[in-house]
Amino acid sequence: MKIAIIGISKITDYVIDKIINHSEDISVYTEIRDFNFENKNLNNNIKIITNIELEENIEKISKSSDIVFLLSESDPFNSFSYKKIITNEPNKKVVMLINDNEIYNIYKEKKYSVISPFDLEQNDFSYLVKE
Amino acid sequence: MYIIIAGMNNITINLAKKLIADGNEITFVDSNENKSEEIEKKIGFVNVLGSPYNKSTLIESGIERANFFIASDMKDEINFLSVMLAKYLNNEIISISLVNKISNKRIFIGDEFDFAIEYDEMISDTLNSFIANKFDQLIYTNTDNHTEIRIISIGKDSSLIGKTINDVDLNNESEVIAILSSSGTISHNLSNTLNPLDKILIQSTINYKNDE
Repeated sequence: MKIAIIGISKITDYVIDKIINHSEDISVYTEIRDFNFENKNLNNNIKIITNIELEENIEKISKSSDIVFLLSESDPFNSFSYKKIITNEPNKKVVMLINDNEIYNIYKEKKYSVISPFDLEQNDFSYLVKE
Repeated sequence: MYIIIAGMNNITINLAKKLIADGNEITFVDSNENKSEEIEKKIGFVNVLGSPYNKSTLIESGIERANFFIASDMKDEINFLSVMLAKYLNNEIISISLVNKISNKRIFIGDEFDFAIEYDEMISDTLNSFIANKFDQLIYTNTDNHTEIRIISIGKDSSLIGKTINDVDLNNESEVIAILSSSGTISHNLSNTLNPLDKILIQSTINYKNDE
């Protein structure tokens, strides 16, 4: 199962911990290099692709992956990318991080696959990667 | 009408001036303090400083009583999220989203997005005409017989001016109840010609959308 993680944020490590045992093909895409993150994940079997224009490549990344985690720090970017992916691939498994609690609750109410740093334990996305 | 504009630029500032001159109420929402000060100098205090995709900011701007929300940031993703939030907070608001990148227009589709216009169309005259012509307000919903009553205002630039109700393209499930003229009279004579600032009172059957 091929998993793409878009963006490095405070919960990217948390998500990797949850899915690392379920996939041997995890790629993290980021526009800016984060050496702390890279060092922390040296021993993990994940690819880190840096210096990539995410907005331009989001659809291409999605098409080449089974599951996409949108984990950038930007709520507008994550929500817009989610809609972009779903517009092209309605059945794609996508999970997005929303930092703003009000917007998180709106998306949750609309039954989107959304996670919040303040509600992580309530967001069980492991079923997505166990299939 | 009360119009909230998220994003200050030359186009929206000119638009605001015209809308204020026509008697509308305007509030700008922008997180840039310098721009806010600039707009205060140009057209007075009509700003709320903050992010257009923040609930508190939109509530403070009066989103719950607004008729229009214009998302005109230079980033499509910000317009997308701010419209989504605005529509959530006020389901009756009419949203107009600027689409900076043409290939993104197909993303601005769904219940939240009433009108998505490309950057080239985003000139103040176009927007002004857009608002003047498209004003359609739900005033009453009867859930027992599944009907609703709406008011359509005839703007100064409306293509309906000079036409009669019989010329207006209404669907089969809509019926005109009355015409409220700008002078305050109520007419049931549907052969009268429509004038600027007239309002058409319409009763329609509600078409519930299939969520599947």
